[in-house]
Amino acid sequence: MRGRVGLLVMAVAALVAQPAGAALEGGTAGSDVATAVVATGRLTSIEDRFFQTFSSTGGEWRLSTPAGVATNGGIVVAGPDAAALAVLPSFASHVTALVPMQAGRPAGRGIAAAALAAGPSSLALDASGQAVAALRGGQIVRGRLGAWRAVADLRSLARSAPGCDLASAEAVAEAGDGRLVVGGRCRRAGWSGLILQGAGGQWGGVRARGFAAGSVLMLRSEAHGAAALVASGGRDRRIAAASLGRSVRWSRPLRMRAGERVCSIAGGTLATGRTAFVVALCDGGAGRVAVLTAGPSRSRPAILAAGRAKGATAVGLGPAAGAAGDRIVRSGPLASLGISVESFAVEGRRVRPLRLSADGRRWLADGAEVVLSLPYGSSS
Amino acid sequence: MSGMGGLRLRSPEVTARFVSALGYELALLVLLGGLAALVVWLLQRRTAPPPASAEPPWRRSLRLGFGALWVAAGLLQLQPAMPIGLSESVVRPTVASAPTWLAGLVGTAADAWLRHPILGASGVVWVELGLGVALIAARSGWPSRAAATASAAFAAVVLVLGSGFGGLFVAPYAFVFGAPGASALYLAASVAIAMSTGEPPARPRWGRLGPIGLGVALLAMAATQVASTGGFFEGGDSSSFSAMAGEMAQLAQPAPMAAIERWFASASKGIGPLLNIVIVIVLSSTGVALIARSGAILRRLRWVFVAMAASVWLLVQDLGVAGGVATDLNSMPAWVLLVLAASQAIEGDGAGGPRVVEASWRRPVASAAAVSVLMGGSLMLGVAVLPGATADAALAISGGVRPLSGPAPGFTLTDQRGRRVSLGSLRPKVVVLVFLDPVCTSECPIQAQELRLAARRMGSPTDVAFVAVNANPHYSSPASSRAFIDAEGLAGWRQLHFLTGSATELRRVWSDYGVSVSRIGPGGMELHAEPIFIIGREGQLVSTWQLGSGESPGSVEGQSTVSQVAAEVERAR
Repeated sequence: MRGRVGLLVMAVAALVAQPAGAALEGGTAGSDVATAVVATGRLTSIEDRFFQTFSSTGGEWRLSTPAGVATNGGIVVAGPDAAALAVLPSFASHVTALVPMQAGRPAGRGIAAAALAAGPSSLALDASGQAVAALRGGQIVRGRLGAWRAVADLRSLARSAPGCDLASAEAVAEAGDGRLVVGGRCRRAGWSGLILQGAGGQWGGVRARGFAAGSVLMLRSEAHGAAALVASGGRDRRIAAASLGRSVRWSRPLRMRAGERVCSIAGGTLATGRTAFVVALCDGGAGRVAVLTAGPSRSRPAILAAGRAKGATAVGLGPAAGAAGDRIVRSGPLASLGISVESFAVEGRRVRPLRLSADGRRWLADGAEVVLSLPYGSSS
Repeated sequence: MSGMGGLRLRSPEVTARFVSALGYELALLVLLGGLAALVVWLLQRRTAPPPASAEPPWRRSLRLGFGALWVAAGLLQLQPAMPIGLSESVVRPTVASAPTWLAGLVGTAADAWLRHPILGASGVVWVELGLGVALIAARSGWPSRAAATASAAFAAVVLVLGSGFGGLFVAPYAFVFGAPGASALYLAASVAIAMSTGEPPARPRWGRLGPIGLGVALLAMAATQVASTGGFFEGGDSSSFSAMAGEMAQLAQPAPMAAIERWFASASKGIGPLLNIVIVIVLSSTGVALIARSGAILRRLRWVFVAMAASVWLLVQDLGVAGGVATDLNSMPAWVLLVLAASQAIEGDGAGGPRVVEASWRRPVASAAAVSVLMGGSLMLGVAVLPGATADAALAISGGVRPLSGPAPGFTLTDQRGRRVSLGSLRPKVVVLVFLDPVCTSECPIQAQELRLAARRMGSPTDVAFVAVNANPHYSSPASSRAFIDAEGLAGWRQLHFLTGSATELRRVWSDYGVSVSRIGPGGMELHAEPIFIIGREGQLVSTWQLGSGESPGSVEGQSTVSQVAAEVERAR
């Protein structure tokens, strides 16, 4: 956290076509370092779209994308204060590049490891550096970075929650006391997609009353256990946050409008100890920014005021053309939440950090524009 | 990261292989064709000569004219660029915007061609030359009809698989741009020849349908000039005539032709709309005259049509052969032949020509031509059914294999198991040396699979070592090598040594082998050259080339690379 104000990073770039539940753009805020993952370049071309990482330790954003590996597949930020980055495989590669980080900067050479699942929570680190990862194909592994042992696989996880009919497992986090929680996607209604490990090591599915087939969008390890952001499929689409401590406590759900989709998610811990998820919802228009919190008590989702940033061509909340100014959705409780929300306006190789004003009405410049030397076509 | 370029149309090595194949096939043709001709000649002497026939003039014109066009097409197939160029520069562009089913069909045929390009190219040479000679030589009777039937069948294949229905789905589809495709006109002419016995028709009414059909086709062509999406009625920079001539002028061709195209590109900016009006009027009036069977009008109008077609052929179609990879003389000569023959048919009302006894050379020559068609057809059938791919596509991508001599620079690095491995310790094995990046996302994984396939093709020999030197200084631990090997499913491949080392060690090896490695920006991988070296049993350099691969090891380029690696290893053993 930065003092009393929790920093949440929202990198929004919406032209990137991503499957539901796999918003690879977003951010995470730790006690010392905030990290954002932003898609840049030609966003509609998988060959010329490069994910970039920006880190902030003292209030200024700086580029911290690791060298030597193509980032077309996405970047996963792992661990408290982003202790490691995982560059997901893309194109013909089946290998994930893992990069240790220190104070928001790449530290030392990377190592290659088995392919992680394509989700923003497919790698987690605890304070001791122990890692847990969800691999492609649904295998869950644990150990030091790159030297893993299998903990579970999709079949065993699916057996633990037969009602869910688990289709995939793409997220994992520590849930306290050495237990893990796995996030996946259910094919059947009434299940959240969360598979929680019990004290005895056994797995069990978490139900979600009123949810159509659930899928986990993000997981975070927290002091109180873990927190999850879950989406419900079907016609009545909604998202909700869950606190996974000794018991599961759900926030009130946020109903998604027709045509809306999740563009980016940022997660952070509030001063109160609650987990906050800032979600950018895109709909082809102005879109919305919502905050859902998870903790011991039940909470309501909040809609922040400014739908999109002026001049943000890659913002997921609406097209750039015709943007005369920030569109105000409605006054929001940004200040009362004690968080700051930041986004990145992306135009090709130009990236402008922005911060939502305290009253939630305007996007303000938050540091100098970064001009990237994008290697267009370099990965093809 | 790849250093791969596209397929080069003119590769000296592919050309040399093409010429060599043609030489062997010619020798075979002389032997078998000569034998067939001799047998037919001997049989002819023992049997009664065929009766004299009165071939109608229109049929004679079509037969000789299209026979000559087939011969010209066959000669054009001898171009060095044809093995690679036909599929890449001629066939694929015709279906670039075609419906999926047609693009898939033509793409499959183009892939098959590229797997065995020399077989395909030489096969077409013999088929087209054979068809041309057979049409010219076989004047009457079943040999003539058989030649025309074969001509029609081959034209139909070319129409669909070689030109995507004459470029029907490539805008603008218009008469002056070659619609409906030369092969469609060859097909029509061949059908007309095949339907005639070489005698005046028993039912003249049927014979009248040909000119009427041609008239309707010309009216349809006039409609393409009016309704085409091209700017035929526009002047200035929007003129389609000017744009086409301008493009033609850019192609490599004799200087006088380029000068003519440049002049026309400039002149047509002002007179383009007028030119199109003239073309539409000539097409429409000729079409109406053919439908009306007006011999008197056609007698004058046909020469206007010939003049118009000749002008289009020269100014817009660049004579069909002056630039690019030409496979035929384009559509205008075929249109002219059809209009002149139809005019003859109307004038003569189906009457036969002078009754002539068949010359004794005709059937032996036609027999030899039939052997040529059969041989070429067999070669083309091989393209369709033979598995795998020859090394030709890989040679076209890599620019050829460069022979080397002298000792291979030595190195000692660490393999994926953590053991130190030197080049010297691998003697007396043949070494296949490549440079791979363990976190490369594009071609390194594919190339590793291609090398594995090459090893399997060779029977996983124990006297060959496959050595990959790490090309990424940021991911240089043996664990990274292992991760790559595991991810690619290569853990059981004992002949593979993925070597790595300190940045200093790696840079020295890159330098010794002339491999450039550079960082290309945030989010981008290490850019590295992709040479492959073959090192002989005694540690001497044997050959090198640039690896290039396709989208997958199973692609044409991938299979071709596999063949090339296997062939070079075999040469080094």
